[in-house]
Amino acid sequence: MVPLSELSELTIPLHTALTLVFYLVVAGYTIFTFIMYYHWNEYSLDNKVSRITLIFYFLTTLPLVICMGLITFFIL
Amino acid sequence: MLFEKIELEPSEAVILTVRKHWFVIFSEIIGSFMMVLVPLITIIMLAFSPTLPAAVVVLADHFSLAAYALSLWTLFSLMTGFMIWTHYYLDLWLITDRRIIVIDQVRFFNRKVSSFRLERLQDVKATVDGIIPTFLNFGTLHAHTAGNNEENFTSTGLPDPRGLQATIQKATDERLRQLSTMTQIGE
Repeated sequence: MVPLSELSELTIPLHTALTLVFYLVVAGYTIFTFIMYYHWNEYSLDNKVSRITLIFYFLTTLPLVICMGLITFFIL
Repeated sequence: MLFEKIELEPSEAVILTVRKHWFVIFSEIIGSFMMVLVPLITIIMLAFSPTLPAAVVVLADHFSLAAYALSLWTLFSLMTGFMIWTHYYLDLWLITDRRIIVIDQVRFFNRKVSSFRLERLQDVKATVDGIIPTFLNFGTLHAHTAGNNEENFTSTGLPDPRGLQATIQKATDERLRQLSTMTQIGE
């Protein structure tokens, strides 16, 4: 059992924690994107709807991932 | 694309493609939209709250950290929204002049595709239950097939279930008439 007084020495630095979270998010996002792309590519009835959905998906989500990356590696 | 996978028979024509009613997707996706708005509403409320101005100062001091958290939250909310939209769009009933194909996209890795021929259809039942479904005209459709392995197909939240029931019934009658004519010609 770690004494509470020593706990602060064991905590992960904020930057390391945020970097770890960022890597996990990128991994999750990549897997989710692949699954979503596969479903729209394989099971959709309309190419146009698939294209619009995927464009809208990348336009809304990719800037957020980039923003997180910029904050992790350049700002914090 | 889906039509290539389903492999419609030669001269088989698609009569109708039905997805769930818009209210179903609206009621599901509104939660995701609210999730996107929650941090913004919270910040606005904090900014205008006379008792909590310190919280805004703390947020301003740790702007990059707040932006990181906001990006993460918004990303998850959007991903949830796109997942709901994907399930909605890929979930459908395909009515052709020979059969009915029911595609149920439960989750990303749970997809059920059932198909039954119109001549096997024994009963179609439409149910509209509740105030909102009655006003917006959506409900549940049950299809019951005859034969050795009797099956039931049920889908909730379908638009105009009575119209859909009539279309299926009409297509079934037409199919039975065609088959009867073909049998008579054969004899």
